[in-house]
Amino acid sequence: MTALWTFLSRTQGRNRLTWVDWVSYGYLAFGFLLIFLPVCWIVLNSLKTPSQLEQQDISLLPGEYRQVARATVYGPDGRSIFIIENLPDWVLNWRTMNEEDRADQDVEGLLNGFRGDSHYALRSALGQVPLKARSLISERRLPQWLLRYPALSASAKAEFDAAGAIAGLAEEEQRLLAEFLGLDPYQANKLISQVLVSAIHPETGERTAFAVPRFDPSKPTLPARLVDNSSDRVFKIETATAHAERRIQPAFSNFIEPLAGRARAVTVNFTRCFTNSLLVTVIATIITLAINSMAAFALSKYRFRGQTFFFVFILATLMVPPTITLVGVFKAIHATGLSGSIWGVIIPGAATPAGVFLLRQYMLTIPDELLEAARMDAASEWKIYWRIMLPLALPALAALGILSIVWRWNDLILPMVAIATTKDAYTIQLCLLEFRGEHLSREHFRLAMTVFSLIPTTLVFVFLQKYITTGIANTGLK
Amino acid sequence: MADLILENLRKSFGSEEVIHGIDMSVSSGEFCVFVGPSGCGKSTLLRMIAGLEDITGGEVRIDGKTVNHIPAAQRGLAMVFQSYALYPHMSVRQNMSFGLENLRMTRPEIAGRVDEAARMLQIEALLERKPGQLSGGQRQRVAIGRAVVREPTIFLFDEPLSNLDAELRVTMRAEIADLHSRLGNTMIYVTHDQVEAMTMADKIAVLRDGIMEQFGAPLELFNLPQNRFVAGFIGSPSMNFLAGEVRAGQVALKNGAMLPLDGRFMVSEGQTIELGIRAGDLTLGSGQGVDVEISSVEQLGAESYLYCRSTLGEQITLHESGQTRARRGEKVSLRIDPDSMHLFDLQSGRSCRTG
Amino acid sequence: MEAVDAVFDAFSGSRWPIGLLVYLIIGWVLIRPTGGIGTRLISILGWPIEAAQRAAGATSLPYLFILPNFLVFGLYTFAPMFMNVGFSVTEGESILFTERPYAADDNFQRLLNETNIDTGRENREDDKFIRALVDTLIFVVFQVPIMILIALATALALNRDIWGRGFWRSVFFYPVMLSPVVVAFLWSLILKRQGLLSLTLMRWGVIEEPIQWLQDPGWTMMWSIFVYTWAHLGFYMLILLAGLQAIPRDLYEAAEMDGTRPWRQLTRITLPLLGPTLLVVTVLSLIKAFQAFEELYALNVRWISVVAYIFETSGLRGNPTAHGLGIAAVASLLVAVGLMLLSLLQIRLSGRSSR
Repeated sequence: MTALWTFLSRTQGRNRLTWVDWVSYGYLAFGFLLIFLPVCWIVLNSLKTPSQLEQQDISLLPGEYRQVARATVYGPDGRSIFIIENLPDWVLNWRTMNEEDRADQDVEGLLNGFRGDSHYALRSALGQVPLKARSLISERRLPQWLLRYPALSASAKAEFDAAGAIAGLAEEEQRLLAEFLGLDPYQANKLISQVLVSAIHPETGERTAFAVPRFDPSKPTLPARLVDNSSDRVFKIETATAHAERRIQPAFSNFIEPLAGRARAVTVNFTRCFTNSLLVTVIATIITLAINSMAAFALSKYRFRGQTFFFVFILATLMVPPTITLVGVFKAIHATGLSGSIWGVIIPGAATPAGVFLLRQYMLTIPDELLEAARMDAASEWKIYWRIMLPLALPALAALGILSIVWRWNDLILPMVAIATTKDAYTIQLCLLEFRGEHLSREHFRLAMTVFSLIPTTLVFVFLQKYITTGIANTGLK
Repeated sequence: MADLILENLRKSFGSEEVIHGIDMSVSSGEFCVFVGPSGCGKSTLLRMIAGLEDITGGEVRIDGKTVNHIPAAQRGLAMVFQSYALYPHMSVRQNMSFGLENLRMTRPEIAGRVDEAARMLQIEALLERKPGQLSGGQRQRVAIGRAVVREPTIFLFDEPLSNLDAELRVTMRAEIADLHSRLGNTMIYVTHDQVEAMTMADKIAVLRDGIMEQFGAPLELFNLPQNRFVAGFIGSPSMNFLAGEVRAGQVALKNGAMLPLDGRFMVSEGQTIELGIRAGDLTLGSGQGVDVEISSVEQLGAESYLYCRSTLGEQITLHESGQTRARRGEKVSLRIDPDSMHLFDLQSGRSCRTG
Repeated sequence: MEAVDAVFDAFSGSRWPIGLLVYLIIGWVLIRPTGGIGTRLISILGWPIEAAQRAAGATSLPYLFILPNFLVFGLYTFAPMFMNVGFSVTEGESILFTERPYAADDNFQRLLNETNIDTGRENREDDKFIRALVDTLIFVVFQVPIMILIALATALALNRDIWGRGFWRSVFFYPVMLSPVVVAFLWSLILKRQGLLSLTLMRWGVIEEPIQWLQDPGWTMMWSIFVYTWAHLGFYMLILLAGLQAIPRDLYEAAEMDGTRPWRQLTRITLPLLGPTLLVVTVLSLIKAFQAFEELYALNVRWISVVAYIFETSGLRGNPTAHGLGIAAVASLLVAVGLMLLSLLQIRLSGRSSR
């Protein structure tokens, strides 16, 4: 501890930390928190399950409270509400699952494990009522209008005698069809997930298992039902005494599903977007390096008529940002036939004035004698460019290349102008911006893909930051 | 091997003319040195011969063929640059073979030439190194090697020794001279150091402000300088100059001394002249001399230099072999040997010697 | 499979792969390269330059080297400017100039007139544009000074002899590496109605109801400024830090010898010498802030900036309006003039500071 203290309070040349040092460190630490907490927050959120996100759970770690199901069943005796414990996860997640995953589950086996109201509740929740009802109708050769009956208007329903049509069936069969047809007193049964908490029973004073709709620590009391169904009442339990058990479980499927192309019911295709972004970044960077270094070579190593004009022309493009000439840029991309393909993003941004400037400044420091030596060595000018100049300008090329990778990967405005109408050409940034779930919000995919899209730039940041900072410091351009 | 002829060669940068019409003829196998103070245009001249600078006027002829519009690479020349200009990203071997590859020579042929040149220059052990790993002298050899493998008709050297320390410079000087005698090629060598010029050259061209002041063999320049500039530039220490005029068939120096004139000089009565005399042609003594005060003495053991100031404030250097007894502050008289004196017209600076 | 499809889509569907092949074959025939595959490929790629040099010497080559860059700049940076002028004086929904009748200054009227020239009723467009302009100005006036002050404070703190300087610098630079979409998403996660901030404040009992920080009229500007500053601070900090490190150390040593107090060192040495850099940073951030769009658009803030106005009015996304393209073009021309003046100022200032 002392050693650590000595290490931390060490200064260069001076003996003691002054108050200015303390203020500096405090300020820097505050900045660190302000910058990294949001980033950590999004990373942690990206590992939360869809249901945890939907509950607006602001706990730090991904994971879920132990859950139980609250069932509402309508029967001949009216409505009954009860709790079902120890259901497999997939039952509670059924609504958010896609068809393939649903097909993988043993629904029949699960239903056979339950009797009575629990069985009815699960049968409705897992969407089995229409399936079973239809097969029963065709099996028993019941009238076909029964199939249409649930969708009919109230007046149309009055023309049919639904109760009479099913009267001759066995009790269980009658109940199934009554549920399907929505005959009084039957309604669609409901099953929703609730949080399992253990809390002090307000009457007995003993620690008991309860089910609550949401575990919200900011409320003083929570409405709760007994998990053992020993009472129908809703109790008010003290939040302070309640304790919910949480399982820490990162939802890696948030990442795996969209990347493997299995994220259904969303408006964008992440695999494709990432491939597009990768193509754009790589190709555009190569083209940028090639044509900018050619221009920089000419501007730094030749004397020719119009040299100043070209240089001023290139610098002048700095003054006309594409954000302002959006309409014209769109027109130009359209007129050159690039709109709607990734080339509309690659080509227009390939010539960067900042890049030419950076390379030219570096090339000016390479001695002309080397070029003359190569000329004496019978090298053509093109060969001098790529055999002598490019290898020698490698540090500047690396800096520009890395900047270009970051620019291209993060670019939003050019994709918005060039490829907004063609979903197949979306880059990842456009993808994240345009992301919508078809029926449900599907925020978990967007969170995960946002975090995934950070990987290339973060890698560059961690390993190649030096090139970027020197590039910016030398040119003052971003 | 080839001869080189420059004819009324001119060069302008914009409206400013920097080479004012130079005529010169270097015959095959000669070692020719361009010497002059910095800014005299000697490097420009070399680069025009090499083809690295456009020619504004006049002609460069190699082996009788005008090469004005032939690109550098096709003139059959090789050049050693002041900074060596070795490609830093290539190994020594690659540096030497780069030019041959560009000429589309076959691989075995390239390897053969590089190895041979490396053996000759004793850089075989360095072939796989990068220039950054070499010392100054080694880089110099590689730069020469790169020129040698091209088997050029003419070698061009642009102040190749100026980046070396004094000791190495002497060694390399001898090696280049040795190389010349072995290869027998025509070589053009640019330097600002007249000692290099004197020791290495078959022919020296002294340049000043884009004008060739004199072109000839080293001793010719030393003994018979055509003007005051060449006289002052060639030889170390520099020639001493004393102002005077021709009076009664004699040279009357401003400080009073009278010297007899003979038939070697063509002067007219009353002409203002400058008398030039080398440090070694002065002796301490009385008589037909110049009265000076010794301002400092350099004793080098085997020889001595006395730096004197005449009564008119002219600086005069005197060389004595052996050790001298003269002391600083002593007032002495210097005797001028009339046989070794040079006379220059004060206005034009031209030598007054006949023929 | 999607990945393969994307690659396939990118490289098919047009004639240019064949064009490239033809280009390479012509090059092959003309150049007949030798050497390894990579060497040959690059040699062939530059065949127009090689061919031009063989045919006409080196004089035209610089133009050929600049050409690709110049083409891209011309087509996608300069041509759009003139196209904008074209759009601004024509009307209609189409982007084809053949279908856009000349409209003189109608679009200007549509943007800024009190009455709508098409319907004769009150014009709403001018209110929207002026609102956007005013909001943007408010944004700029607060964002730029706040950011520069924080950036300066950070740079000053990082310029001290502190532990882990590189680490701290990286930390502050990190947001610059994030894309606007990510920045926006990151913060909307915190600032949305049920976001971290609202829920936390509610838990602490500071607020009763959750607040939509980005939508609430009272908060939207403040948080726009905050998020934008958060994202761009590191860039300006880096430039300022480079400026600080360019101040010679010995100035401070001299000041310390004179017993100058730290505060006086800051106001009398650091800030005056940092002046030029500070000025450049100010102008640069003014230009950038005036164009703020991507982050704000992705954040879906309540107000619209000038660029967002242009973007929305143009109908490039969403529904095109009757004269949207023309109106947007007029608006962008007005903004471009302002920005160009600022840029010219920047070039002047950076030119002065580098001297």
